[in-house]
Amino acid sequence: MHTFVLSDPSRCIGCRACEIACVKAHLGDYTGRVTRRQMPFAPRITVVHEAEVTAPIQCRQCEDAPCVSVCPAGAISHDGEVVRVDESRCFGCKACMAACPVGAIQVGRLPGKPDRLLAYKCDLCEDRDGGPACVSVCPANALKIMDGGELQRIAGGRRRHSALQVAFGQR
Amino acid sequence: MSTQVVSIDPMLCTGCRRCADVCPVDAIVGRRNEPQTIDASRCVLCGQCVLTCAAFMSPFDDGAELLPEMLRKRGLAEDDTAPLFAANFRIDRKKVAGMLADPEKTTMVQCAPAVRVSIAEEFGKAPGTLSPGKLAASLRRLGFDYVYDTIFAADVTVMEESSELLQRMETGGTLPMFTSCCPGWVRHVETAWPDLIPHLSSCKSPQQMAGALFKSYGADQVGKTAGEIASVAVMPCTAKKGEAERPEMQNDGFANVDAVLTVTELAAMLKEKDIDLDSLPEEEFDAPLGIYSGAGTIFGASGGVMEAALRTAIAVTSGKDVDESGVAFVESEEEPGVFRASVEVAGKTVRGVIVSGLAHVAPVLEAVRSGDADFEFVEVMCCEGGCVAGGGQPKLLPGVDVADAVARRRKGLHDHDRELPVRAAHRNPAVKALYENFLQKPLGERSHKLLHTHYGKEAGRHE
Repeated sequence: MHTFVLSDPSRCIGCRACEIACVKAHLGDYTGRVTRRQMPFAPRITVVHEAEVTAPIQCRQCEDAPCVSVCPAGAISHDGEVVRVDESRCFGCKACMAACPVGAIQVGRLPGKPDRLLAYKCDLCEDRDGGPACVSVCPANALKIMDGGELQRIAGGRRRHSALQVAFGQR
Repeated sequence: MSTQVVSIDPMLCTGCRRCADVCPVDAIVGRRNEPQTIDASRCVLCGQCVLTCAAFMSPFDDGAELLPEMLRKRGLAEDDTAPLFAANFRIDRKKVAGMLADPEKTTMVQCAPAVRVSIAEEFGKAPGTLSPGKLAASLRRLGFDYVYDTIFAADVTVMEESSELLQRMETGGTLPMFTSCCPGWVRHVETAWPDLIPHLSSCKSPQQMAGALFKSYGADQVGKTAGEIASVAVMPCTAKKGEAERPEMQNDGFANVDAVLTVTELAAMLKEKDIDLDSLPEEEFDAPLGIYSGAGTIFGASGGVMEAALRTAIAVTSGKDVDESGVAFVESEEEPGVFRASVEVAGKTVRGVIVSGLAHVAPVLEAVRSGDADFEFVEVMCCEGGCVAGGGQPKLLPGVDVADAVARRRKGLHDHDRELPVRAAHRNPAVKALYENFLQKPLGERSHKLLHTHYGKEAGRHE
C-alpha cells in the first residue's frame, strides 16, 4: 500500500511553511539562493486558502493512479512505494493535471525556466532523511503520514466505535 | 517621506499570525486567516516578521501572472525567481545603484560586524562562515570607491560610550545608562517607555557614527567635501534603514548615511552582476576607517557591546591591558534573556545587565521606572542573540534550526575577535589617530557635534 501525506484542515493555520519546506527539500543547497536565471521555486504541495478553511493538498499516491494511466510519455510510474514523475520524460502535456482527482499535480511554465513545462507532484521526499519535509516543518502538526499501520489504526478505531453504536445505539 | 520600511502585503498574507509570535512588541494586528497589518506606533522595524513569514507567491497560485508587476513594485527584477513573501522590507538597491553610477559622487560603504558571518550563506555556505576579506573584495567589485567598516565606528562608540558612562557616574548623571547602538531598541524606548529616554546614551549608533565620520574626517582624508560623498551601509538589520532616515541623523545638512542595504539586498546585487563571493580573493578593508579591533567586532552578538566597553574601561582605569574582560554574565532561570554581572572599575562597582531580545526587556525597565534598578549599565539588543539574528540577515527558511544558525554566526564573530591582532577599541591604531588628529578626546567638542545626538524627537514619526 502506498504511503501518503494527509492534512488536517482543523489544525492548519495556512502559513505555507510546508510549501517552502517542500521546495527546500527538492532544491537542497540552492534554496534561498534562488535568484535570476537559476532554479524555479516550485512547491509540490499547495495550501488552499478559503474564507472558512486552510489546508495543504498534495498527492495521495493513488494505488491505481489515473495520472500514470493517462501519461502519454510513460513519465509517471509507481513502484509500490511512491508515484513519481520522470522529469526527463515529461513534456508538459498536462493530462495528469486534468486526470488527478484531488488536484495535486501542477504543471507550470515556471519563472527561471521559461521554455520548460513540467509536472510537479509530491514524491514523499524519497531522498530525504526523516521523511517528508512538509510533515516535519508544520508548526501546527496539521500534516500526518498515512501508512498502512496508521490507516489500520484509524479504521480500526472507527470500526470499534461503529460496533458499539450498533450494539448500544448512539451514546 | 519614503515608504514604510517594514510592511505586510495583503495580497500574499494568509493570516497565519506566525509573525505575531515572533514580534517582540505585539505590533502585528489582525484576525487569524485574514491579512495582517503592522501597528506603526509600536513597530520597531526589527524585521523578525520578515524572517519568519512563509506566505509567498507560488508560481502555481491564482494571480501568479501578477508576479512580475509585484516584483517591480518592490524594486526587484521582474525575472527574479526568488520567492516573494508577504512580510517584507523596503528594497533600496536602485538608490544605491544610482549612487554607484553617479560620476559626481565618491562612494563610501561600511558593513556591520554581523554581515561577515552571514553573507556567505547567500552563496551556499553554512551559517557563521566567516568571510570579511571576500566581503571587502565583493564591495570593491560592485564599484564602491572606499570600502570601510562599521566596526571601526563601533570601536569609536566604545570610546565615547564608556567615557559617557564614567562621566555620568562621576557627575550624578542619569543612571542606569542604556546602550543606543540598536535602533530597534532605541525606537522601543521612544515609543513604549518615553519617560526613560534620558537613560539612553547620547551616542549615535556605530552606523551613524561611521557615516558622520565619512562626511567629515573621511572626506578630508580623500580631499572631498561632505556633499560629494555618498554614504552607504550594509546592515544585518531592517531598523537601520529607519535609523538612517531620522531627521537628527545628519550634520551640516548632510545625512550621515544616505542608503542602507540589508545582507540579502547586497547578495542580490552581487548575483545580479555575476559576482560570486566564494571565488573572490581575500582583500583588506580600506584605511583608516576600515581598520578594526576585536572589541567592535563582537558588537554584532548580544553581550558584545558590554564586553567591548569593559575591555577598554578596565584597561584605561587600571592601566593594565586585557584581551578579554574575564567578566561572566549570568542568566538566571527567572529572567530568560537577561544576563547580569558586576565588575570593579576605578574603585567603583559597575553592575551591568545584558538583555538579549526586546521581548525580555520589560521587567528590567520596570525596575528602572520604579527606581529599584540595582545596576548602572544596560545593553539591549532587539533581536535575540544580537545583530547576527537581525531582520536583514539571510532568511532562514522553515525547517532550518534558527537557534543553531544564530549560534554559529555568534561563534563566527567570537572566532574573528580572537584572531585579530588588536582586541580592544582604545588600542586600535586608526582610532588613536582619529582622536589625535581630529576628535581630540572622547566627549570633546567635535565628538559632541558629530557622534552624539538627542533621542526622543522621532517618537511615532514612522508613517
